[in-house]
Amino acid sequence: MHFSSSSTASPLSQNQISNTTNSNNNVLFVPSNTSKMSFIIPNNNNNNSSQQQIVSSSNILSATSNSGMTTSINLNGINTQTNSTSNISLSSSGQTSQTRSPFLQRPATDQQQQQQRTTPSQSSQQIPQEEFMKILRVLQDNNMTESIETLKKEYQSLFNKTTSSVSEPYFNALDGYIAYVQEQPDSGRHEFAQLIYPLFVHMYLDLVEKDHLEEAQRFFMTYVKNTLLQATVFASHKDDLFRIKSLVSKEQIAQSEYVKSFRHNGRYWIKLCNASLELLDQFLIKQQKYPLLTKIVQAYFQLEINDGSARNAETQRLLSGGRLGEIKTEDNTNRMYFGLLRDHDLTRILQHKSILASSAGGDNEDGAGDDQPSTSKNRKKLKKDFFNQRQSKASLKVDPNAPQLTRIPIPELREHERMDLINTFQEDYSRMLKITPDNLPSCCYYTLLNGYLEINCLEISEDSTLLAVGGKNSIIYVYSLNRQKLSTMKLPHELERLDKSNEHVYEQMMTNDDSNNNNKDDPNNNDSDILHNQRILCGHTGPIYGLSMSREKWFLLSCSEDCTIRLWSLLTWTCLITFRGHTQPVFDVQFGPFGHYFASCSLDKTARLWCIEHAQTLRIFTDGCNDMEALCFHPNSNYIATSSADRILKIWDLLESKEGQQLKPIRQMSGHKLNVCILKFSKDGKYLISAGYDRQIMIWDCSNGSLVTCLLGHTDAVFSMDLSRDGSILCTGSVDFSIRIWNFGQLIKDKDDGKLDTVQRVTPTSKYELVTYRTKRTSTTLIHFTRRNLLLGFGVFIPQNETITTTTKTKN
Amino acid sequence: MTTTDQAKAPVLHFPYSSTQFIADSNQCQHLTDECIKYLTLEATGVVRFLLQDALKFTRKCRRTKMITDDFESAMKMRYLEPIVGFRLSNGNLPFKTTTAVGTNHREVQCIDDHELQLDQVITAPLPKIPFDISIRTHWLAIDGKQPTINENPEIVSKADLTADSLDPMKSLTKKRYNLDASKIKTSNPHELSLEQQIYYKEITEACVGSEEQKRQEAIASLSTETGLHQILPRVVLFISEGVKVNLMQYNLAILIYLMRMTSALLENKSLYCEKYLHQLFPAIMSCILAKQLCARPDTDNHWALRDYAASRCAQMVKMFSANIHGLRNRIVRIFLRTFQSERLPLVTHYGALVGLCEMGQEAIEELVFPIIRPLGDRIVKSHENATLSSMDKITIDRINGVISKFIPTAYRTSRQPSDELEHFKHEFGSYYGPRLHAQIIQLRQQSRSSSSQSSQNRQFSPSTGFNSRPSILLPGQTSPSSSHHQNPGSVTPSRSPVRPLNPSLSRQHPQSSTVSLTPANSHENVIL
Repeated sequence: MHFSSSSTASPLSQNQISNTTNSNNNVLFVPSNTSKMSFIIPNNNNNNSSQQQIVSSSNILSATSNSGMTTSINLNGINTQTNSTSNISLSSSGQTSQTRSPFLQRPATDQQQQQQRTTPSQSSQQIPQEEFMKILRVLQDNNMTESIETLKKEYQSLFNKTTSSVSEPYFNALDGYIAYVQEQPDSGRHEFAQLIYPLFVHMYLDLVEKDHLEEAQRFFMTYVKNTLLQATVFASHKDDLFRIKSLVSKEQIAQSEYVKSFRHNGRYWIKLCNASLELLDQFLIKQQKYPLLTKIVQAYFQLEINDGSARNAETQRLLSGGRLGEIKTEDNTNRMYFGLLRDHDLTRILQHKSILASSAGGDNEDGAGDDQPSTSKNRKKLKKDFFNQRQSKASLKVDPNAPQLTRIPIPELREHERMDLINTFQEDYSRMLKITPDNLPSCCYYTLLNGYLEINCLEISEDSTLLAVGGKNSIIYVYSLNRQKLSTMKLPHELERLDKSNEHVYEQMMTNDDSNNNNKDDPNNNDSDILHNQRILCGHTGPIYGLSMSREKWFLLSCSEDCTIRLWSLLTWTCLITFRGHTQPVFDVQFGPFGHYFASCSLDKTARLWCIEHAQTLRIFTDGCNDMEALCFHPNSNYIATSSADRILKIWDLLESKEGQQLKPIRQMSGHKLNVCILKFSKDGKYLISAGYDRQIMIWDCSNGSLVTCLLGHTDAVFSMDLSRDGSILCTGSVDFSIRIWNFGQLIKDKDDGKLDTVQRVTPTSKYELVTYRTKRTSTTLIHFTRRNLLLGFGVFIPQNETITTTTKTKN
Repeated sequence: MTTTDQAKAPVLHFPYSSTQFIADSNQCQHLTDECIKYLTLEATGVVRFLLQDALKFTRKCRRTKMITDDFESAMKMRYLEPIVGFRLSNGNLPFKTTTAVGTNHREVQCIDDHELQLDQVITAPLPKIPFDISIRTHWLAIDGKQPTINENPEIVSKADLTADSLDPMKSLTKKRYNLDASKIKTSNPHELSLEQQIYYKEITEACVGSEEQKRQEAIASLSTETGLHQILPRVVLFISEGVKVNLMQYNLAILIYLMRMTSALLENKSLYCEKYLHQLFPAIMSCILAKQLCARPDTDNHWALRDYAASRCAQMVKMFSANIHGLRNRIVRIFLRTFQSERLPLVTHYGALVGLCEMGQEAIEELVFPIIRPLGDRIVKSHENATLSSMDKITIDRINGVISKFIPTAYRTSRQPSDELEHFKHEFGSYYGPRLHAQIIQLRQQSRSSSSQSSQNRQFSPSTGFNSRPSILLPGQTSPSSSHHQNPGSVTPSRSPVRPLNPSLSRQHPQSSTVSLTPANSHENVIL
């Protein structure tokens, strides 16, 4: 109905439009000159501000002319600038109304003018409050009680009418827009529906800011209770709706973090196809039926044109959910080096196994007779060959996506780390279980009893031998999961006496005098308890929120509510450094894949990069107004991914940016509808997997930030996730007491083959789900594949009767 | 979900009156309404912000429930003093409601902060130490399959488990994805894992061993463990073979233990014994009906075994007759047949009688009542016999005991109180007639005198029962003169006095009902 043939779509015609509108002084649209997008509604700061200046100056003018009148208008609580019906012309002098009206009409639109023209008689009858009081006083002085009554009644009715009509344009505008959306053909309707939610929020906030709380609440209820809207546009913003609703005064809006991140952290980004945009342009700009809409769109929205036809509704639904809409395509165009580093990649070792066997094996046969890796000397030799071999081979094949080794300087592997790598490779990777649909993994489950509401976080070492438990009581417990005791390193003066050339020097460094004590205890708790040792680390002064263990099991990082991060030594069992810098509780901390670096994120809206050798922060990644909740290191140690309160995932480059430039995320991804609990990069570094309270497991392609697919299946929040060591199986644990295993390798294969077209439709998730394991009453908070691909699950038992926090599940 | 609900509910705020009251109690009496309203909204807003912050902590800690510590953390984050003492005590708010003293009596919530006596605190016993965090491990899954152990959720899918327990062979030979039909037929070894073999050995040894403590543990294990269906066939075989052997050797103790094992298997909810009834029933029936169960029948208490086995038998009939048609008929027939034969000893009659009586009111009314008269005749006859052994004497005493235990109460509930001696003699013969008459008269008097109210109820209110029961019993009972001559054992299935549980089905498939009963010739296996 709003089509007009003249305005079918070309920058040229838009130019004309804007020109014409400019001449009409209704302007607000200027064609954009950006090369990427053919049409962007500009910031038009200049225009707006100049206009406002005009308006304000006009107000001043009028105020000087008859100050009493203008103040009375303001007393009514009506903003003359925005509301058509509030344009009260005063009956007292026709002169003033005439002089005022052009000023008032200037920002207003044609329609407003019409409205005003149609209702001059009505508005002229209205009497501002002061006048009214004056009259009342006069009447009272003259004892005319009846007249007082009638006057009061009349005034009341008039006055109420005006206040109720304050929200009317809002209702009209949103209703009008919703109706407009409904009129659209099915294929494109969802594109227009994207605007409803942000429009709604801005309108509500406007109403509240104008002190019309009841109206605002009525507005809120009317639309939120609309089941159609509930199912479509509000579905992805449930969490925020609650926040919006609790804002009931101007002051609260000013304070609210949510409003800050919604209004002042950038524009609401909406992606539309070309055709839709033109229609929208027609509706909002040309027709100007609802000036309010136009105003909000101009102030807070940014529209981006997608080439080609409209996206599928399902795709759009999947990608919606970010607090500020979707992600600017331009933001995800920078190059990201997601390839792996050669020297540190274990899976590569596997590939080179044959080369190694042929060359190193020959050497061994000549020298040692057979290739038994029994002595460490042998191993060292093997390793040296191995690393040399690889360097020469490495030059043959270079992963184009891998960053240079020196891009982010990484310390050389230490002797013991190399040893460990080789051991790992020889003992475990060669015997790794290949998980296939026919050969599903076994799962060993560790249930933590008596810890409900007490245990905050869990962490397991890379080799699956140590479990760290962070408690609400600011204590960290470390348990040994194999039968090895957690021994302490000897004191320095004792260490000096050791013979460093001895091949058993590592064993000798540890004290073993407490073994006698443990032997005494052993008969008491043999078999019944698999845990042979436990350590307690005290130091924090608030609940522990995150733990991370370095790969070589030497260090443990912990972060806490007390705004600090502590580095603990797992050899001496003491705190080594306290990292201070965050100003709010620290929510997550993680070691880089090669140690040395670690990253943390906090409620102070920053993520920070640290190095264990410096007490100061190396980098600060700040996100304006959103809390950082979880993070994850890229396997090549060049990037970190964070999730923040606005439900947008961000990948940050650790490389230093140019001077003075604020660090911007290299990738941003929106799609989660509720907070994200856990992030993981795939083993090859190409994909980012995220899951959280909205039950979706989303897989993102790091190369361009696009969504690969979204796996659905869990019936409650997903808390934990791990990939099998060969990277082909994804395992997720949820609070719905289940662990699900997904065929990630198959999924990626299908994607590469082009069989997976997420853009068109959601992948049927049952296709990739292999099996579900159910637990009794334990929500899995940590899930971990051992080096041989045995699945370990960890969870805190939730007692049946939640009021009783202690369980009586101990063995009798 | 909760968030949408919250979003839908109207905006909550503290009542204005409570702000007013707080202001009053802090010597700020003259606040305007505007002021109060503003303060209320402000306070509500602050609390809301705090709650939203607290939610962050709740979510971070992977919880679904907000706790007071989260709120405290949120307050700390905003540099507010945490409030001490607002702990939930057992999930309840620590408030109590009182009426404020003032101009207008208002309900006020305040913290229940009662004074403690110092000596009370000192002398009070120490509170329980909370349990330390402990870790337990178990196998959640083995090769993609969740083992049925206590740590795992009970029944993953009922159908799966049922199929598994009915045919353990299948799950052993079946691979999850490459199911090969021909493979199943060829490979038949029903192998038990080493653990299962050890378990079987331990359990069976403990059950028939000498240590009562161990036996109890074993029985408890049998009745509660969930993963037993693999070894169930072995255990059942053990029972049935054990009964056979020990019956011959008159080993009463072992028989009792075996019956206890049977009982444990029946109790176990995760086991389905239908497939093994052909082994279980003969064993149980033997224990009820055998001529001799122990070396010295006149002194040993083999009656307990008979009673126990009879009650297990009744339990099994109750459990499985819904699934297996005609099961009840068959069992009943075996019992009734014993009364046909004159040469069977009285102990067997005793067993059959107990077995029938245990089956409940209905069976007593329909089956036992007609037996009593021939049984009495037999007893009279054996009394006449000069060579009455002491064993027989005891048996007769026992039979009398059973009859006086079950019959009078059953009779009282089934018949109107027109108790005439002649009628009794007619129905129950000259031996038991007078005895029962006396007992029933006494019983009725007792109940009448003990509570006239309840006896009235018993007589009049269950009128439906009275109307229906005699009408069903008519063919058997209204013409007792003709029916009692008829031999009860000769009752054919079609004229069976047993009311089938599902009459329509059993009438349509009288054949199939017999077929479906797997122990097709179970009564032949009974060792009499």
